[in-house]
Amino acid sequence: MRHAASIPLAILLATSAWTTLVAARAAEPTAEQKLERAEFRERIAPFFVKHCGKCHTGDEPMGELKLDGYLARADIVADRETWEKASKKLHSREMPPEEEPQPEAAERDKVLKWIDGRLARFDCGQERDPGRVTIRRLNRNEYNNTIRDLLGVDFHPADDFPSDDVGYGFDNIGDVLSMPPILLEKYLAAAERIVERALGTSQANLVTEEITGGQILDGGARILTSQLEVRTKVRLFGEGDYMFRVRAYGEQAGDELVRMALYLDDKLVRNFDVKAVASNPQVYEGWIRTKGGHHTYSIVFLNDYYEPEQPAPNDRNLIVNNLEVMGPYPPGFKQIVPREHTPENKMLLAREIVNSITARAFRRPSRAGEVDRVLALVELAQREGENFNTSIGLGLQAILLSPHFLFRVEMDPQPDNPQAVRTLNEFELATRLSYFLWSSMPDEELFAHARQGTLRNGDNLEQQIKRMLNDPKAQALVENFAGQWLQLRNLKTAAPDKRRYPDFDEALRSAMLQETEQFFAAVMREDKSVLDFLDGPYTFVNERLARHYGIPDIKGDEFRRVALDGQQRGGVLSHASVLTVTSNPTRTSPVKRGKWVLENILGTPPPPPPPEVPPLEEEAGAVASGSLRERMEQHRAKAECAICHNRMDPLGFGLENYDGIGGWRTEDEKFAIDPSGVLPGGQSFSGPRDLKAVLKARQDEFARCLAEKMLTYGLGRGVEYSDKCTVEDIAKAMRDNDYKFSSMIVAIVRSDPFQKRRGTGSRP
Amino acid sequence: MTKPWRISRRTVLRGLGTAVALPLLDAMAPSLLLAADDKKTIPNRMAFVYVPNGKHMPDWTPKAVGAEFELPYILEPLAGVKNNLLVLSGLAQDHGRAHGDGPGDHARALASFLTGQQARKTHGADIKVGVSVDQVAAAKAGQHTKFSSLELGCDRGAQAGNCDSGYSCSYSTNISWRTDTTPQAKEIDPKLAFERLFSIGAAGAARTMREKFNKSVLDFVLEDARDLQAKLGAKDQRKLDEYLSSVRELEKRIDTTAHGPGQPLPNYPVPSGIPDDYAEHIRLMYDLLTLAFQGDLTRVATFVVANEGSNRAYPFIGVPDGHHDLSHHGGNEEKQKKIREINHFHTTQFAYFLDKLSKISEADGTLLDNSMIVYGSGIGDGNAHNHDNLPILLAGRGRGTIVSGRHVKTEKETPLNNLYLSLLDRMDSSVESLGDSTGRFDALA
Repeated sequence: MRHAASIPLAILLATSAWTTLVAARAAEPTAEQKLERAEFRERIAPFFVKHCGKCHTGDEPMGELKLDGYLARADIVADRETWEKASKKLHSREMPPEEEPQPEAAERDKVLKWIDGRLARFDCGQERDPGRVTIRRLNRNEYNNTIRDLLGVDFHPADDFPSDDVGYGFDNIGDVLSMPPILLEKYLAAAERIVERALGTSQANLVTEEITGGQILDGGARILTSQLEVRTKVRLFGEGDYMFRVRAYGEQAGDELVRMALYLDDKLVRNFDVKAVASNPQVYEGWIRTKGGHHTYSIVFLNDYYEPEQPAPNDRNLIVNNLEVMGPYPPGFKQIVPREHTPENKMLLAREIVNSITARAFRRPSRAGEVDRVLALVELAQREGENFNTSIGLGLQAILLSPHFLFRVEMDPQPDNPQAVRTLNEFELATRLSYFLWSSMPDEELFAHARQGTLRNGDNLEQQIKRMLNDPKAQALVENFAGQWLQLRNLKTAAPDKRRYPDFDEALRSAMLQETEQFFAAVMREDKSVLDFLDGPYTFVNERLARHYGIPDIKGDEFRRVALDGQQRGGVLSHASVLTVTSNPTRTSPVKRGKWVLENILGTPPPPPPPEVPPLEEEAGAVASGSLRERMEQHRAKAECAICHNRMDPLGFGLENYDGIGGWRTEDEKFAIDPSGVLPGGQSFSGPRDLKAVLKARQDEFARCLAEKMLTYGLGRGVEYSDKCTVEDIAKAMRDNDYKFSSMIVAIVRSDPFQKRRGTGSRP
Repeated sequence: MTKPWRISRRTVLRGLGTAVALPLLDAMAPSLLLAADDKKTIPNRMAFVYVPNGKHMPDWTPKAVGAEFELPYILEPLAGVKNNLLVLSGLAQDHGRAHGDGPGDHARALASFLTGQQARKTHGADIKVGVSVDQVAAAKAGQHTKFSSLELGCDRGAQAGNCDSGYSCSYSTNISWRTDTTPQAKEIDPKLAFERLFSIGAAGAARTMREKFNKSVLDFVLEDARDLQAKLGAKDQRKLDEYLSSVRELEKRIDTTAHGPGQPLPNYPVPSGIPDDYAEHIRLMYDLLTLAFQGDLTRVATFVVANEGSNRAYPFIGVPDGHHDLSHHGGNEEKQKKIREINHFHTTQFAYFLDKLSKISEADGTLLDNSMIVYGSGIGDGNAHNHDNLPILLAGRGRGTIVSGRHVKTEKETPLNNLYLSLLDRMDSSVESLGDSTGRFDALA
């Protein structure tokens, strides 16, 4: 058995360590437990020995599952993870494998009923296991947004990075986000470009034309006596912040200081009192945001004074040594470099800058030694003759490549002890919160709370969540959460057949996406009930989409809210986006749609089809006549397929009034659409509107499903069995608050898995 | 068997006194450049090209075995390079099969294709499969080149949802695994791939201004990472391992480029991004692969033409349906015909690549002679999802070590990894075993 030999030793060891722990905890069984165990040994264990023992016991068990210990312990609740898995495999008939003798259906059902009954008794009273999130690398969106918020440059450097792998339906899962060499290489190149943009390190003096005005002194300086202005032409490269500098000094006289004004064209940039004297000219600088192109840069001497009758000094003059323009600087530049450096304050200023960037980039106060190490790089660059900004830039580049920036680090005192639970510090909490709702780093308000330790005080968390959901940055939650939950991202690659759907074009593709994003955003920002996702009587359309939906009197490209009567549209299930990504290129797929509803609305994904069985729709010998529905129903006669397809297909049939790109129809290939259906359990519906009502009646299941998806996204890890009670709590909080969007977010943020963490390793 | 490697870029540059826009194709013509002091030998190259969802096997497998065989419909486009081709029938990748893990043949097909190991069934918590053959070669043969290996593709990773029956999307989008838990992400944008190869544009920025400081920066972050790693839990440490090993790879690259000659730009227009036309996209990637091999920028590469389970439509060849939907043809003839056309389309592009390689002279032969290009799928027939009797081609002669122009039928269930062991031998990267290999594949010569 060649694959049995490849089971890593570590897993076997881990299993036996687990065994010991469980045995220790379960030392004192109650009378009830004793009875159950006896029952288990008598009725359940023999079934598993008979049907599973061949492969899943002994020294080389298959699939890393060794049943011996579990069977001996006979404790379904303590070993629930294993028994849940066993139950799933039996339900889906994946096990025993088809080449092995199969248990009788009645026998199987009896055993499953017993196990499922025990599994359902889940005690939420005990202490919650917060689980453990693997260190999370910033994904592409998070990287882009973090750079934007850290340095004020928004040019999506991560768009060039390889795409992030997806696990549990999302691309922000710590375990799945890997760091191959190509990515580090991209980080290195990106850091260089980012630094250049943020600090303008590649900028040179843009004054290249001759300076005119005044009289030239020895050494080239210009003195303004009778002629009161020097000027030059500059060519600026594009709109942005520019720094205008003038090195000057005054010959003071009279009772005023020398005053000068810096103009760009006819616009005053800034007035200065010039205190500097001949022995020590100073640099004066003014900033202005302006357009690119040709401009005139001038310095005007404002208070000429010459009284030859008075005793000396009686002649006030302005002397201009030179003019410089640097730019364009990004909007965040002055936030990074708050002051002009001088030879004296240089290293002190550098320390201040590095200290501030490090703390923000690492999302926590900088640690001893950290700043010194960055400064060593700054000094290295200085020694090599680089200018101040470039030197700071080198330090910044190192910060942007540091694992403390690229990963969201949450360090534990006991990283390998699964029992060591701790509450996150407020910097960690602020960081989790901001990446959850903004896919980006915390802003100053969150940092301020973290510094003062007030984030958890009173209702501060609720306040912050409301503030954050209303911030434009929450668009990240729409694009990244909704984009993946509803699979809107797949719309980009959907390829409806041009002949079948001649109406489909890029404008429609983009409108479809917009509709659902705006709809989600409305529920989020207006704090509506999440049940609106099922049947909210409104949506957002522009002319293109309105035409597709047959909504009259909508003109123009911009989207607007429209009220719906709920007959044809209402809720995401009737959005063209969702209907398109769940279709085949040439036709609708009731199976895909049904599966989509089970997975993303009801949270009860069907097990995958058993291996080697062709998908229902395509089975050999299909009768090629009749409607799609008729053809498919013939196959549902097969018992092994019917179990799951009876759950999936009716849901899909209920949406058959929508074609492969979400257009309304009553006929398909000359056959009248029959959108009615019966769900397992006997509940029936007559069409899409009715179906939605059925789904809405199952609002608890929907709330739980959405909560689970949102929790996965918020934590960056898969939701585990141990999170079951947390999901229940969140669903209850939603129910108690009319399913308001914010109630779900608040409940997630307040939950133990979000607030706490523990060491690595499994625990009972 | 070694021949003098006459093409030294250092010599080229010395001779021309410039590193700017050297037309690589011409400059590499061996007759022009004979450097007596050059002790290098022409290297062998290795590439793996993956096409998903299996093949329509009746139109793939030649009827006759041996040197006298006719190319069936799907292989027809390869007529021009038939003598450089081995059609290998009967190979199996056993770990594409469930082995108790249930459905998920597509994810397993790609994950096992170059590893010969069972992908652990997980949505993401504990991804694990095995080191892939290309990375085994990269670890050794990759030491000599700027890039130890090159990973190309045409499809982005999945953007949302689940990919295949409880398997993380990592498995169905990545073919190359640096460690058993770290997939090598692929570059899908020809522009970015070009810029990276030739160190220009955004990707090449790091070479310019602060190049002299890169080492100091990497030293800095290495120290950060080592310090951090020591304080983390076991699982987090693995992530830092990936980070550290990537930093080292980059350091190595900086060392080689710092001491080696500057990289001449090939006489090839810089691609402008991902073309709308799929065929053009594929061809651009093949061009880049050719340039990379030709300039000895790497000797090991993988190219995933489409992710496993791809449901791409091919309306431009009259197939508006999704590839995966079609592959479950259930014996339907019309669907099989369409699959055949998709398969034919892909071999047409592959033929373009081989033709290119065969027109580049190297020493006494061609670049194709000094390469070993594996082309195939980890699924036999898309309807059956079988993982034996896989459609596999081996193009090139591995520096004269492979007798091509034959159709070889192996014993049933011969592990695909046996072939890989023998290819690794030819890359001076021999290993005792790889994945489920049971021995060498002795039918190559």
